[in-house]
Amino acid sequence: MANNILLQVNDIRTVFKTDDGLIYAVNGVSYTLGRNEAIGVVGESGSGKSVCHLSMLRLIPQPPGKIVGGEVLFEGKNLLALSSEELRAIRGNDITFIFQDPMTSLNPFLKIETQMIEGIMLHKKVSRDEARARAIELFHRVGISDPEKRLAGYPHQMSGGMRQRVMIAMALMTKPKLLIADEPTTALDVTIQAQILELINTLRKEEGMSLILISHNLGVVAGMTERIIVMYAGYIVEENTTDEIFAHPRHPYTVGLIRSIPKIHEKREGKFYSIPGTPPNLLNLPDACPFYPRCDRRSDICTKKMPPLATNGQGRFACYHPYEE
Amino acid sequence: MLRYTLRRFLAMIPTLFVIITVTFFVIRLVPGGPFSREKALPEAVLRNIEQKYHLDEPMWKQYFRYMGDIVFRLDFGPSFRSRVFTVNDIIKRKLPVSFQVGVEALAVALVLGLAFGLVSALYRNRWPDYVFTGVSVIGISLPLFVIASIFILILARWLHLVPVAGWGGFEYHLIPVLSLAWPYMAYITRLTKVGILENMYKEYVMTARAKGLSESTILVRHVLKGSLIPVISFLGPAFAGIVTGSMVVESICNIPGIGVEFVQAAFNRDYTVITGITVVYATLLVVMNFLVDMVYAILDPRIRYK
Amino acid sequence: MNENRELQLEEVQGVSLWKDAWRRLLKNQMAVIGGIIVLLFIVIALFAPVIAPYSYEEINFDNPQINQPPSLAHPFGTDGLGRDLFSRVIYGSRVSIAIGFVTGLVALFIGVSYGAIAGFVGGKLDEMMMRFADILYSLPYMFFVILLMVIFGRNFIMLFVGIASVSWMTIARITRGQIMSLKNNEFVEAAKSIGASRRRIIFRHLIPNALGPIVVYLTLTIPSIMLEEAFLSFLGLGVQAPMTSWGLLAAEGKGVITTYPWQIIFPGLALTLMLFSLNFLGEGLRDALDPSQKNKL
Repeated sequence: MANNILLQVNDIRTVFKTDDGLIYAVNGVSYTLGRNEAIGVVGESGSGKSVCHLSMLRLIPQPPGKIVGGEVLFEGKNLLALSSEELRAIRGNDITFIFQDPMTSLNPFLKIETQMIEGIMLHKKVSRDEARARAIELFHRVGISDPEKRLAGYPHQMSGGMRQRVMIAMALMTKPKLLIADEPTTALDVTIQAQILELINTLRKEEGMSLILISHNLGVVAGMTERIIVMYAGYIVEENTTDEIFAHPRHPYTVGLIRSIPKIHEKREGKFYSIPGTPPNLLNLPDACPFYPRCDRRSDICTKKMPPLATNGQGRFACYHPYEE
Repeated sequence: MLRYTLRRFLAMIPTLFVIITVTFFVIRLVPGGPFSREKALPEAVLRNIEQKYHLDEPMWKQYFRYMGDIVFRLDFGPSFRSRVFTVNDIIKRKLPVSFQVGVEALAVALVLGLAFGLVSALYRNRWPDYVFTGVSVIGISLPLFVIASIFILILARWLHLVPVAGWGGFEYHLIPVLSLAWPYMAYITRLTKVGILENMYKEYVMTARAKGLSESTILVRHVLKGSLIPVISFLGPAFAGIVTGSMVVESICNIPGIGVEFVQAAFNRDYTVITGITVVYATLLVVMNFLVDMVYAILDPRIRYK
Repeated sequence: MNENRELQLEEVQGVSLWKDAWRRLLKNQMAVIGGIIVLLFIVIALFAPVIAPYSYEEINFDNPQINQPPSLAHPFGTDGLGRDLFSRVIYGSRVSIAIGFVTGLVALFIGVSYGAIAGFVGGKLDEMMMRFADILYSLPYMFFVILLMVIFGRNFIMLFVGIASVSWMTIARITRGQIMSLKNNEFVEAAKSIGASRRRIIFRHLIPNALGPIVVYLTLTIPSIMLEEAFLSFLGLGVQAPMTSWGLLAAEGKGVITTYPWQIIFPGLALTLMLFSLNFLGEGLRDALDPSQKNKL
């Protein structure tokens, strides 16, 4: 059923213009997302995972950024080609965002209520009272006690964890079809992280939403998603079902990521493993495998051309020397 | 909010107290008194004068007498220089003039500054931005008397739009107000522009954008308040600057204001007038800062819900 | 697996900070023009007796040329006593510039010492010193200077002291900031390890490295000092006759703005030109030494 595909991303490319040259932030990302499906997008800082998804909704500042190619088909409509009004009708309505840092993502000058209801009042044309009722209902569902008091208050009166719950509730106000969560727990205490992730997981299943969960932490996406996309230097370097990624990782970067997850039950002698080297400079990125300097399976061909995404049935990967297992 | 207001209000009192005290003693450190420059007066006359103005009493007694007069009767005492007028007379006559000019200048600076800053931010790197930025740079760089002179020459001498100097109806206000306002308008323009541009991509503005709000809604509802904060903070120093600047402007435009009185009193070492005007100025500044704090608290909830 | 496969990041050739800054400064046209004009003014001031066609008080008693508009004989016109304005402006530049630079240096000296000590020692002393400076800073400074002038009389020395006493604070703050961030740098550890005394560390090691922003603020403080002198002199509380400064010349012209405008215009222009040039130079220096600060208020 073609209608099962909610989002189809085709070869999206984004660059940033700086005084020193062009920064190639997103270099041809393509994938498909179905209805009610949850995928994780994993990568280090600079991998382009955030920029990619911000670009899909045209949320990056242009200038200095520029989306230079590709299409993003949401229910058949190309988000990159829509007019401003048409795009804004979808943004915050059918597709909503949860950002990383709850301390700075809420406007400190406005009441919580204002920020909660402005989206739904704009998109669904409901009355103020109806919007308020929905906000209170959602506050209950995300576990915020005393919702009326919280609505009348301000962000600085809340803890980080609570603010993130507000963000989650805010993202659900319009009953979106797709929720994009960009590192929703990175800025939170470890103890709160699990709660928030649990909450997102539960809610999305209840609402029947699709979820794109962006994180630098494989562990975070492991429990919440059916498929995982691994990004590096603006490219997709591997994609597979969650089980397969962990059982049979193909790309050396993925392997490295998995290896660096500390596992409590394994005895470890010496230091924790971390992938040697540092992420590449995206400035004037050459057409070669960006993981080359840090890879222990590299060879000459890796510097000649960026390996294309190949598939062998299950999943895809971009490497000339993938792990076989 | 109420507690914050009260706290701020009460804080004004010790400040004023300190200012009056310091001014009182500092002025009296002056070697030679207010009468020491006239031709040598006969001993008897001198003693009489000193007695009349209580200058023969010990310092602390003079101080308490002075304080008492101010606090209980709001009486700043007689002018040493002028036999006819008391300090209160002088202040009553001249302060309203300066106050009018000062407040008008501040208002013009604020309104124009915000407007120009907004336009500069929205039309960044296009001609309105360049024009307003250019105008601002000129305002900040020119000394006040040059600005005032230019206005006089152009508006009064050349275009005959307003009278050259003096005081009266509205047309007499134009040159002094514009001259005083220009540098501060320049600063406010810049502050507003930078404030808006910096806020346009703050995280919480991104959140608003991700909700699908239009850019104009985002600007008015989310960006503006944050951008106003540095402007409001600037109003305190701006007012202080306008107060000092008024001395020059009143001098050039021949306005019977309190600024020129102050300078004159400084020349004449007229203790009471100097102290009186200093206290008035200080009070104005303190009250102004209080008002700024209030507006601040209204804008930023983090301040009032401490 | 222990091999170091550190990515060889492109290493930019380490260029000395000052050379790099100099290069950037030269590229900034406005700053260069500003610098040239400043130098020109300084030269004119130094060689005033040679350059000025008349002395600043010369009056032609036989044929007094009172209040003449600009002409070939008198490029800036003459004043109410028949003195050549061009010469007076040139002589006036000596006082204005001297006050600007000398007071600037005094403020520099006070400010740097104060800020360096506060920054280096830190802790309670720093807190007290900065609190004191903050209080001073919040007073409307002109007031303060005027009061000082009233108390101690209107002489030249007091003018210096008065203006310097309100100008040192920004430099102190900048110095303190710089010192604090440099304090924990390696070369301080190295100096300490050879047993250098604290005073030596402050003056021989920290200050030279903190110099960048200090120089910048010096070039931005000098114009404000010159403005303050002009302000005071304009009101009659600054420089006194027979000396002249641009502010004093402007004061003399203020009564006759509409009839003999050149008498206030030319001193005003001279002051303005100097201020503009110093400001451009200062901004250029700031951009050259720290490009990340570009376009900030």
